[in-house]
Amino acid sequence: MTHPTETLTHSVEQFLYREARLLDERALEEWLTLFTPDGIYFMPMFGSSDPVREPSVLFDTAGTRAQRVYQLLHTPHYAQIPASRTLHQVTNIEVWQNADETVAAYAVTVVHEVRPGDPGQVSIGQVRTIEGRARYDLVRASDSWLIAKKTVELLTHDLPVRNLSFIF
Amino acid sequence: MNVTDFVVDNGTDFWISPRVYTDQELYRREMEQVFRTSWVYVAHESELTKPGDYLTTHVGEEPVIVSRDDTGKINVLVNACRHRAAVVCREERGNSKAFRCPYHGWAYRNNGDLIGVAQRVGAYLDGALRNVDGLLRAAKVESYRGLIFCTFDPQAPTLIEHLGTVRRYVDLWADMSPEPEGRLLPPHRFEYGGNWKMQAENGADGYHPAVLHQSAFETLDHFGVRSRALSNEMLKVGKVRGFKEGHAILEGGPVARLNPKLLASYQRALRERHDEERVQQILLRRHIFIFPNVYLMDGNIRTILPRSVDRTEVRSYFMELRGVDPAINEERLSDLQRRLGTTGFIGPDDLETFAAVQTGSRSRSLRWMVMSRGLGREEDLGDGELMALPSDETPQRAIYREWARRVLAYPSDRSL
Repeated sequence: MTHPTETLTHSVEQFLYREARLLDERALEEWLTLFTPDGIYFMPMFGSSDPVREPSVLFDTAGTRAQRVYQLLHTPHYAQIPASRTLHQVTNIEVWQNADETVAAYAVTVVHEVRPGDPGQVSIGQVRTIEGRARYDLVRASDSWLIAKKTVELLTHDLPVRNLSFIF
Repeated sequence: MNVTDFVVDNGTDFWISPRVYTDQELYRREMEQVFRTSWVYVAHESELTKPGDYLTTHVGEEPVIVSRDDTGKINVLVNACRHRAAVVCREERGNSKAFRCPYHGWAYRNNGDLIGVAQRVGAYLDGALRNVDGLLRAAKVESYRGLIFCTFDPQAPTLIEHLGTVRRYVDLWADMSPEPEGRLLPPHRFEYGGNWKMQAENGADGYHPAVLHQSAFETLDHFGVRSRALSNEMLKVGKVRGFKEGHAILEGGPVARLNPKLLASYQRALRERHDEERVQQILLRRHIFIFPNVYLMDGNIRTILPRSVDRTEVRSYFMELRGVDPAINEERLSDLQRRLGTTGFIGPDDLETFAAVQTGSRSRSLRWMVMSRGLGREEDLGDGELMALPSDETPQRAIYREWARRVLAYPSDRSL
């Protein structure tokens, strides 16, 4: 792995910011197009775990990712009524270029989340902060990138979570 | 505090006060009269395979260490130093010969025996530590089919008596693993802002899925998974059961949503050990609630840990079957995780409902919740087992009758 040029780093950063914005805008169908057809979204419960044989927080292929987005956008999904309002903050971006032109990018993602409404109701109206370290394996796609694999290890990956029904 | 303030059980109506979710005095009694005196599930033997293996958990709010000592025996030890009460173990799991208190260094063997008091010589009068010989421990610890339970009541009946007639369903559940017993993997963990009894009620509630889980059914149906058809099928052939010990069951539908090839392979593995009738019984999907804190489900064990009157942790442990094609466990895990995992299509909707119930329970006007559904169409199977239709509230009534018996001296032999 080598250090990339500033131009390349800049384009990866812009790509990650764009992903964050699409999630915040709930443009989830567009978000799906950021992945390669066999792209994986993985949130391990333990760093080295095997997603096929061991439980994880989330392990989505294209099929389950599309189901997740459909449930969020088109069905009465009670855990998302009201829907989460989010700010995805992406920092500490570190980009490495592989010999085959693919890229590995590391980032710290902090999501500020609130389900708007009456704070007098349990689980509504309280801003929460959920943190994770992300690794993106990206491949070139014309003038931008596609996600071959997004791996997020939550700070609380092996601890109890409350309502993680929005997309981190 | 009278039982009639919280329960109406008069033959026509079964009502429960929403204050059972909010009242601090009831919660205090539950910690004392449910979680100390009932048998309480603490761990599965597959989590403690080697001498020295341990895990920490809670029995109610009592912090405990469940350890397999050097002789292979399972101990449930109170995780509080006999000297000044600090927990002697902070790890959630591991392997150790001893636990040493971080504060002043008192040390205990993994069977709980006190093996060292720092700077002991000359510091205590003769006999001063005569009653301090180790960590306190549960009064009784017993296992059944790999499930470890304990009680802090020395007068408690045996575990077998506590299980009563639900035991034959526990056997069917355990027999899902062709080679005994299944193996638990680390849990999906959730927290919700509601009382612990909501999860106890919900897992055997066949009335809510068609409404609350419409979202999951619509999603899966849209992608051709036919989940609603499966759910409707379950309602058609399903049953609920309530037991006099407070246990409950929701049953119906196929146990493992496997593709036909894997299902055939799984059935072959079961048929090598059981006759056809039993195989069909094993393959019927069940959520078995064992009062007060554990569900045995088709893919997992789900435990309930009260944290306060309005905060609860739930842990869902995938159970790997032994003696099957590994692809079967992979498909079962994927199915469980998508439905009831941390980010599943179904589980988060349940937990969010509990938050809604907790908010509504603050009402001073709402005097009663109605749990009368199906009264009058229950079948009495004898030995304290009632059976009814899958949307009936027989499980919830069984849970609250036993709860009221323990917490409010509800007379188990007559109605209110």
